[in-house]
Amino acid sequence: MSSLISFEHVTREYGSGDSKIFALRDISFNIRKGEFVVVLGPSGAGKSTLLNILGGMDQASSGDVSFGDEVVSDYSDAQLTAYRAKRIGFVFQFYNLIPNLTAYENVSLTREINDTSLDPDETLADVGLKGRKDHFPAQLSGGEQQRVAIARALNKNPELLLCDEPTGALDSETGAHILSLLQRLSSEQGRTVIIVTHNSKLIQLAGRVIYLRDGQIEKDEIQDYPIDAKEVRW
Amino acid sequence: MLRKKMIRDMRAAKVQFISIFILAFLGVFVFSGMRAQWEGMRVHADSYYEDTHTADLFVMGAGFGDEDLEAVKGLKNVSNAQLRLEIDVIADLEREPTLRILISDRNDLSQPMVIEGEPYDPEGKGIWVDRAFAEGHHLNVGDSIGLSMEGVSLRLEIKGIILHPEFVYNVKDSTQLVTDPGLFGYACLPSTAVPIPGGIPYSHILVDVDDEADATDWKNLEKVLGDYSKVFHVMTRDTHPSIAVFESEIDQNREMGNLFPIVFFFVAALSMMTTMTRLVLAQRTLIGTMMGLGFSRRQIIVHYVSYGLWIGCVGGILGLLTGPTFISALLYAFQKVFYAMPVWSPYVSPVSVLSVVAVAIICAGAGYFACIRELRDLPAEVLRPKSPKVSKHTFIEKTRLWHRLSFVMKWNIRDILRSKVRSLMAITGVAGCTLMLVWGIGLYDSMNESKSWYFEDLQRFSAKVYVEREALPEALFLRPGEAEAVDERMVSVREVDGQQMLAMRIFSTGELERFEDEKGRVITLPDEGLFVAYKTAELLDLEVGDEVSFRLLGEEKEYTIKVSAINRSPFDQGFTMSEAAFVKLGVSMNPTAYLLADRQNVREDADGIIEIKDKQMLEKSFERMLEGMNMIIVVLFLAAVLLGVVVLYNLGSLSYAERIRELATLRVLGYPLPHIRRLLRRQTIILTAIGSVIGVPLGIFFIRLITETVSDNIDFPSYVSPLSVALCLAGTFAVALVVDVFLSFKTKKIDMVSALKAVE
Ligand SMILES: Nc1ncnc2c1ncn2[C@@H]1O[C@H](COP(=O)(O)OP(=O)(O)OP(=O)(O)O)[C@@H](O)[C@H]1O
Ligand SMILES: [Mg+2]
Repeated sequence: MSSLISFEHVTREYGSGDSKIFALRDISFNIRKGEFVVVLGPSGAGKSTLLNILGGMDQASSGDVSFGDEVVSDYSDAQLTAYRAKRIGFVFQFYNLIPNLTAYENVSLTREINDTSLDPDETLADVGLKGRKDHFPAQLSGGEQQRVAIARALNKNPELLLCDEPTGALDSETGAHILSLLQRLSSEQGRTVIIVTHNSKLIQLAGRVIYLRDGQIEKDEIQDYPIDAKEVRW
Repeated sequence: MLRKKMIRDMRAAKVQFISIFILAFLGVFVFSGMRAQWEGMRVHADSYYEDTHTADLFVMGAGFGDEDLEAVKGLKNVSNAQLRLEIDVIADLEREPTLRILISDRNDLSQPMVIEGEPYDPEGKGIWVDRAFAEGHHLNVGDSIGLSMEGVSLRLEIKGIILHPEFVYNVKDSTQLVTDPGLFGYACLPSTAVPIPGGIPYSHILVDVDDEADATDWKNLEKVLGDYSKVFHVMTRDTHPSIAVFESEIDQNREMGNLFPIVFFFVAALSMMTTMTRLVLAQRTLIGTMMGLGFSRRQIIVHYVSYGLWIGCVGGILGLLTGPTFISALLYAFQKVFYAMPVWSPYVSPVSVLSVVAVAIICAGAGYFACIRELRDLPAEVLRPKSPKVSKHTFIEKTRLWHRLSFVMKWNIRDILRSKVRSLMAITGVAGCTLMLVWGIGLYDSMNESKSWYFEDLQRFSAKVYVEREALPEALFLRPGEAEAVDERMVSVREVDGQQMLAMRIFSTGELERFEDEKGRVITLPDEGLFVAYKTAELLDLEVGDEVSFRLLGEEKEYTIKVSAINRSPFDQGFTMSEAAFVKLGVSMNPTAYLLADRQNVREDADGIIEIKDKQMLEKSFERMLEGMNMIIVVLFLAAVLLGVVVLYNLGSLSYAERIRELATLRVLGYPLPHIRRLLRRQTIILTAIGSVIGVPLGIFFIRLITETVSDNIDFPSYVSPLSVALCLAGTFAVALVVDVFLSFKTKKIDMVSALKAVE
């Protein structure tokens, strides 16, 4: 199978001279379409940096990032914006929902910029929030808010779903629901999902685990038998 | 330590704090400036009148002598009195100007103030000439001047240049608006300098009333004097043409000065509220820590209140230091054209100083309320970040219209409702901006409207020829039949409390002048009854059908006549009659001027012509007055733009700061920058639309306030053309859009990674 995304000798550095910090140091890897990947690493390892570059929120200092045939690392700001709009779905630890838009409206946001958008009602139903569509974020629980965030990311019908600590702010049971939902999206809809976390328990769920430390890949493993999130003992 | 924190906080939110600073500064600048300006006029006028012992009552009549003086002096409550003859003479100078000379044998009351030359000597031999006249004719102390008076000519040496307290506002008659020193001036003469055989027939008795005399004593005195046989008329300072006009000028300035700065103070308070609310909210955790460290609640509140106190004080003090000088200089330059005062300088009263305290309290108070509101919770709760405000489906969302709105509109409307204080600040500021634009442009429109109304609609002649009373029209004009005679004189009307001197105009036919009633309909002068001008009718409380009694100067007889209409005219207040109606009273008309449709009709070199005034000339002198007005309009415009810019920039940067996370989220979702800018711009536009729509009627109200209080002699209807209103709205939106362009640079700087990294 051809690779969807590839990183080749990607480096991301901050600052200059003596105070130079390498968030990512000469990283190379490929991700194939439909893979469910967990990137694991301790705090400060460069996980978010990696995800941000993948998602077109940030640019590499050197090296090539490509998506299909296109070289994302050469994109202009406008091209990056379009790239994010069309291809990427983001899910964050703190949901980042717009507080004065209802669940339905938050999900509908994608329709303003993406013509391949799905029907928000269906997407909300997919994440099990059919009955809560007219509620504002503050009226929803953390888990429900995260599901709205996932629905918003999914509603673009993205080729790549990127999740930065999606369960970081949730209790383990709610977290399990969210992870199970993400797994289902991958297996049933064939979406490529990348989850970044420092929680090592998550590695059991993934078909592939990339271990990151100090901005470098320590290990890159394929797991043949990932477990369903609901069956993991948290 | 806390001071350092404050300075750092202010630096972090510099746009907000700078805009509060500017508002506080502007508020005090305008308030103290305008106040110092009119208070300066008041204080210097008061001391001018005081220093020159200006009389309290002015008894006008004919042929007063020493025995009359003694009789007045003997009256109760009279502490001093002085005789004076006021008479117009022709000076032997270019353009043959009229010089009104004041002859007296004493110098106790209404003393001339000598600017240059010898002190005034009531037993001296020379003449003391007014400053504007001396300047206009290049006269200096030591020069001599020739006067011809009742056929007698005499030459006198100029001993001094003076100002006189009764000639602060000095025009020859009501047809002039501005002093033309080339044609009219005044001078003081000791009686010893004019040898009049048989003694001087004094025309005035100046009366100084006891300090203890109260209002009823005054009224009594006025009555007693008014009934005295040789008296035509008694004036108080309140009805004295110069003193009263200057007084009403002061009142009008006060009116403007009190209204104008309110907008700034109000917007400053609202800005302070929003900024402090934001600051306190952002620092909740910090506040919790401070409480944990042992700072008391009071100390913390005092700390946050001190922000406003500092900004208010610094902005206010700077405003107080610059406003009085700047604004006074600006307005005095305009007023000096009309009024001759010995001193023009602003006076900073305690009230002005208090405005600094007021603005500091307003800013501190706004900070206090914001602080109290956010810190109601217990320390333990303060430590936790505050949960975001819950959005609600408001009543608006239940309407049909809501569902038709675009997504961007819905979002912005909710955001506006969520940040009420911020939105209110923006609306008020924008309303203030439009208000001042409408006010400025409306003053201009009203003046221009009055100008064309007066010179084009009402005045149908092309020239007005002032003549000596006895001159025959045959000698003056080629076709005397075409000249319309006008008799302009003063009459006195008895009121409940005193007398009023009013202008009366009698027209032979009224064909070259148009009259309009209150509704703007054209009316013609009737053969019976008289027209009362609108302002005069207000003054005397007259209505159509009422009867009014007046006395002609120099006569004791009282004439009573019915009011047949109230007429409107921007300038010619008073009474108007036809010759026919006048003759019916048993008096005959004695023309002082003629109106000509054709300028060529006049025999230029005829004796008996005092002056020919082309209508264009009259119009020019009015335009000169308007030029002074332009300065005020420019100031209003500048203030409007400044207010608009400050408030909208503040709104934009606040709204940007408060929504940065939302904006970053949109960027991550893939919203292009122009899309995001449109979203932000929409809110600015909604608030600008609301604010400017509120501002228009307020502006019109302000114009009305000014034009209505302008003076008893002027009736400017307030008028703003629809085009001007459209221009003001366009101007407000232009300000909003320009500010928006500057704000849109900010959106480029949205850093998705760092904006989303921070925990709420
Ligand atoms: N804007 C920045 N300026 C300087 N250094 C930065 C910046 N952003 C990140 N870094 C550094 O880059 C490194 C990687 O940061 P990154 O946020 O990717 O870590 P992470 O693996 O996501 O950590 P965590 O699990 O705590 O979220 C860190 O050492 C961090 O200090
Ligand atoms: Mg991270």
